[in-house]
Amino acid sequence: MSKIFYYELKRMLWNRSFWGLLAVNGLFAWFVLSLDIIQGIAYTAPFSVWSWCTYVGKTLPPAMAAVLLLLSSYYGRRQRQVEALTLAAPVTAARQMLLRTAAAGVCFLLIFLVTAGLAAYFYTALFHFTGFAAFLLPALLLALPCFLFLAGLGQLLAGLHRSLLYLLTAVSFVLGYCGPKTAFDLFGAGYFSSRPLALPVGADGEPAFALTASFCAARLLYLAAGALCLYLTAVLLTRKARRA
Amino acid sequence: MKPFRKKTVRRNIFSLYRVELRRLLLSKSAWAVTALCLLAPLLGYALPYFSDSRTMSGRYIANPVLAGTAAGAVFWAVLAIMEADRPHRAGICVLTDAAASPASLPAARTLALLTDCLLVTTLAALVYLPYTAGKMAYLFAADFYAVNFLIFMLPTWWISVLFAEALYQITRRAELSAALYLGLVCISVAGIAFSDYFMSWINPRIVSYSDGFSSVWPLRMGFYTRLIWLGISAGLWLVSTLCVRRYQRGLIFSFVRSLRRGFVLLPALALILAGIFLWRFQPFIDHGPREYIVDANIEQDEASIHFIRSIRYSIRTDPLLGRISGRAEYDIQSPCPGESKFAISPGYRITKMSYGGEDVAFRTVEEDLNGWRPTYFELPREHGKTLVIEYEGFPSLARFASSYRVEDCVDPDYISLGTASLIPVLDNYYSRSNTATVDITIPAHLTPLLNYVPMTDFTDNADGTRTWRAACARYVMNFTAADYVIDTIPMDDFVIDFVYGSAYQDIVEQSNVRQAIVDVFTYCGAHYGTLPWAKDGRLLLQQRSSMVMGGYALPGVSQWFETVLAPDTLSDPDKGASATEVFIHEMIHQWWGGLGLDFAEDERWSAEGLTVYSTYRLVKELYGEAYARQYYVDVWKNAVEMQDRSFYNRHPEYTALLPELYQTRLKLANSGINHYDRMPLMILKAESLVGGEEQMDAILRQMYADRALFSENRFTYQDFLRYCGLTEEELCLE
Repeated sequence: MSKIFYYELKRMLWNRSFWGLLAVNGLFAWFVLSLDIIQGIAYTAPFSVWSWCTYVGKTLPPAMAAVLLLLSSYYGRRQRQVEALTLAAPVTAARQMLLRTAAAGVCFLLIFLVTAGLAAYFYTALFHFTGFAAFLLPALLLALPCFLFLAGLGQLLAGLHRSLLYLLTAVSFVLGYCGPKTAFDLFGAGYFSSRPLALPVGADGEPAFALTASFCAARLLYLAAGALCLYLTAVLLTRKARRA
Repeated sequence: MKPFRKKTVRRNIFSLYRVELRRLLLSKSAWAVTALCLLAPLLGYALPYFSDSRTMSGRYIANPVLAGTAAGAVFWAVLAIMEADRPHRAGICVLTDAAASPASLPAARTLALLTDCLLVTTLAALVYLPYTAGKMAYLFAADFYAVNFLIFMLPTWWISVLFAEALYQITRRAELSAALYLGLVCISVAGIAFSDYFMSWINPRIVSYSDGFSSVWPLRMGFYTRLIWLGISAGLWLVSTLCVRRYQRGLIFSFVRSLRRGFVLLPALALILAGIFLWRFQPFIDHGPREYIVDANIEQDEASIHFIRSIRYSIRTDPLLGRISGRAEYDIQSPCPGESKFAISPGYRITKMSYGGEDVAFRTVEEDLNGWRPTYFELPREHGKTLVIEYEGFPSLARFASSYRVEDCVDPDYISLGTASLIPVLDNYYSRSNTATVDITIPAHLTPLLNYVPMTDFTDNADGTRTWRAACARYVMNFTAADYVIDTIPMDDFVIDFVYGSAYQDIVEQSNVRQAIVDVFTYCGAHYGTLPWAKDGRLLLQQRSSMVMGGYALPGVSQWFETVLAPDTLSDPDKGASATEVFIHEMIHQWWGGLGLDFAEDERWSAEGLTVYSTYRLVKELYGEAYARQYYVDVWKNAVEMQDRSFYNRHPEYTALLPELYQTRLKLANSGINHYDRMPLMILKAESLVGGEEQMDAILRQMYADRALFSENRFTYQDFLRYCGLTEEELCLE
């Protein structure tokens, strides 16, 4: 199984589109940092956890668009032509799908690491700030549910029709910048840029960072929904393989 | 055999062109360039440095179009070089040379690229149309929008493609032609090009645009510049066709060999020379100094003044070509002994001078100064005869002002002419009656103002023009004609002639601007003092085209910025809660600002604070205290609170760590809040500290009455504190 995983990973990483998308993501992230985050989100410091979460929330839509585009290559005409061969492999179709998701996850992680690395450089070089420990948990809470939900939903929809995956890419991209600013904000940029305005400021003039129960619940819901989508996709693929 | 050969070549180029165009339309690189070219205008929204114009047309048309023009030109050049190099890169040039004539293949490829440029320009215009139309609302004109793409974007892309193709054909090396192209770009964008408008081949500039009045003049100048560079680039491209390598030999052999087709060299040189000729003899900007020079000889010697009994000016405009022709007649009582001189716009040519019917010799010297060019002449010592000066030409801009305003222009829908663009200005002569008769022929649909007075007397010429006649001072200071609406608003002790462009008529009615004017003049007159500008019981309140820059005041005249009635100004929440209130704000600047009490300006203090406060007071009187508190005081408090919460205001030490650009942005953002929110709040606090509104009004009235004291050393925050009898500490906000 690990062989297939490495093959899928190699296939994605050796794809020129991935490197192009990575470059675009890096460029976009730098623009977000240097035009938006530098001002400080909701009057907080540019290196506050609020600003960091908004940054992650703003860079997630293009990162997820890249992942969905990479996954779309598995649902193209060429892929369907070689489906008989891939189904002959000693791994079930459901597992193959999970391995593809894991490979896409590695690509997502790489993109995320690039954007996070840029932010780390930006904060260190400009503000001499190095206290990144507080950033880890919120970043995980934002990125993981977002990836699992969209990758799961994307593959479920792509199983029905490939163009639905593109539609999801476009819709998620729009939602990323015009979505609700509530706890259910999938990417979190809207939520984290508006929430500090409603909070009282502390002695240092900054609103204390705290994750609300509703936000955590929403992240868990997205995680569960993503897992459910992956499960449904696996079921659909297994049925399809049996029929074949 | 000859005709047969020509026909074959022609057919060959045409069929090759179709093949090349089809290939280009299917090429991924061409599509990538198309996508980049379509995205490039976005740069113009983010970086508003491509045009100096700050009107809506400047921001939503000029900036995106010029950004797209410059960036797109580079993309097209890259594509052109890549496409030219493709057969060599792929190692198939031996095959392509065998299949097609070496000269016709580059021609077909260039034609295909030029066609593609045309298609992408059309696409770009269509893509940005809905957004631009939505933003500019009632000021959007589809034809003006489209013309910008056709005049700036398309020709510049063509020029770029021609240069890139020519450089490749000459060098036949991609990297070398790219480096040479980069050199050409540097010439255009480097500082040297700022001294000569016509040098900017890849980044054309737009001096100024008006939203509601015609802006044909910048388009004329842009088109002319594109013609210059199209000539030069097309000529170079033709020369480069002679450099296409033949028989696998080098540049010199191929060039000499191709010279046998000498007929290419002639049009090539003709095109290049035409471009240079157009550049050298451009009629738009004079050859005067770059800075305004104070003329030391402007004072006239009393003893040398000679008298004129009467003056008649007859001027005819040709809006299509932007030219005027004129005739000035001076009934001279006694001619000046020796050589005399008059000055006129450097763009004009004196066609005839006579005195008493006899021709007079004259010489025009190219000593342009501040937009005036002198002509010297000597009159015979015969008394009581008529001096006639006939002239015609294209009114040119004074070089010192050419980078920021268009003072003189004759457009189909807008005419603006200053003294030297209207009449010859005679030295050493003085009119006894101090009046002149002016006949001026302009398109019938325009409403003229001569020396800031609406003209009333006209003759219809039945050819789409009218000849307007008026008597005016000897010096015709200013003539403006546009599609104006003139509303007469009677006040208690004077009448306001409210003059504005017809493009703004709907918004004037919707926003009840006339009532706002009455309210402002009544309120400010009663509280701060009447405007001193009203003359003979009339005040002309004229909207001024942004092509001639900002407003100013003269006796009987108060001119205000065109942008006051623009949709984005009227929706600026900093200035008022509604369009009417924003207009009120702008009108109050007649009292507080350059036209009234002149304020010094720094990060904290400007005329805006007092203007916003006065707007609040007037709105409070009109709509009640609750409304004024909700839409003014609460808005100020909220903005100040947010400013105080801002990280960089809490930790100014971090500001120094930011790049200069961001420091400037922060400074601007802070200035905006200080001027529009913090300062009004502080004035409100001052109001309560000095004892209430009445006491505050008395202080403001005194400040306005003393405005002459601040004409040189402008009114500062310290002056304000002194008038209020308060200290800085007392006005500090908690």
